[in-house]
Amino acid sequence: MSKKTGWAESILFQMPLRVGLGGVFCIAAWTKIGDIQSFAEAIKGFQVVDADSYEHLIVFGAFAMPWVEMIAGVLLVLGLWTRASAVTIGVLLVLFMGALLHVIFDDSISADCSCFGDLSVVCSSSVGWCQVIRDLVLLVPTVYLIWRGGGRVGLDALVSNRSSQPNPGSSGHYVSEGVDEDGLRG
Amino acid sequence: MHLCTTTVRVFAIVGLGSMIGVGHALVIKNPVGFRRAPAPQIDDQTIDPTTDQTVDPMPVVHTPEVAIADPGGPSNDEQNADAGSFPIDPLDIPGPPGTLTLREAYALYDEGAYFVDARHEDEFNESHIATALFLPAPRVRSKAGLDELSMIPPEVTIVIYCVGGDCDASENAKFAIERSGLGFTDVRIMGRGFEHWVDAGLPVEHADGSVTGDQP
Repeated sequence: MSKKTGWAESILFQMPLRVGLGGVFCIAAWTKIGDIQSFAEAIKGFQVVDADSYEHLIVFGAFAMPWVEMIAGVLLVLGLWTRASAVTIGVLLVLFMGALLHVIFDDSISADCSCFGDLSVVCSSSVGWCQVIRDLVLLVPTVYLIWRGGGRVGLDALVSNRSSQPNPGSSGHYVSEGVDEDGLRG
Repeated sequence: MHLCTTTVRVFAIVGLGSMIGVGHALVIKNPVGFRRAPAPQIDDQTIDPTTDQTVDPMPVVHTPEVAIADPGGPSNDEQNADAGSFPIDPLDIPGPPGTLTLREAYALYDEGAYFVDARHEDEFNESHIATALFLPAPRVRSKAGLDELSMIPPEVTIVIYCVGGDCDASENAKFAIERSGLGFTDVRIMGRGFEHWVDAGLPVEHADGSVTGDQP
């Protein structure tokens, strides 16, 4: 791929997708962090694990998951550790879809998604196919970013460029270690 | 190499998020948790006064005592006459342990108890128990919800309902109301859902403001 095409892809696709996906996850995380009790109740409502036996696990998940989302989202927006952040978000999306399908196929469960806290983004708050489709749509840019990386516009590129500057003490040799960790040549 | 680095970074993100989450849990003012439904008190042994021997009758489940008004269902005599037959009156079908039947809930409704709808907002807007307030748990914790709740005298009975059955929303709303700091002590849950209330012909307010069913 030519250098010109790489820049074009970075500016037209990788950066907007990074910032968009990261931003969505930052908003989702922020709404949950603002009302952890509601998110814990939502996890309990999914009935994936028994709330009586695993209350502490649910409460731990309710505190940890939004912060993982927040960190991954911020890293995506910054373009740092892009592939790792996208993988984290991809795993979370797959877990969310599994939980949603569990509720959809069990008629006895009536649960709130609480995916964006109190906000209803695209779908209503009750769990249904809309949320599964929304997660599938979010999975598309996630997979793209895992495949192509963060591109030339982002902190990954900055860090990589710095590490590939000529080493003054080694007669013009380039330090190539760490380059292409996050798709800078993609 | 790349796969290894990415995997390590994923674990770093998850680990950091978990650590911040634990830190958050330690500094949060109101601890997060769930209230379990109180176990029903079951008398499985009574003393026979004539013989002073313990007997093992059918277990008796204590439900909250309320004065039961008749919202249109059959009288107690009629029920006693049919004691051995099924089905039981829909108004008396019990919900989960410790919750109110429709008859008990209606009696409280008649006495002026406040009803709280813990379902989704669109369901509430479509129709709800007449005079009920829309206060699911997240709303109770919001400023608007607390303002609304603060207008209810703390000494009155509050009855919460949702879709019934395995619906957690009532339990969550009860927990939130009791933890609101507004002094509510008599908060109960209607074990049967809104649809059962509708099916029983009890008062329902619709989106257009009309009220159907037995007028309060």
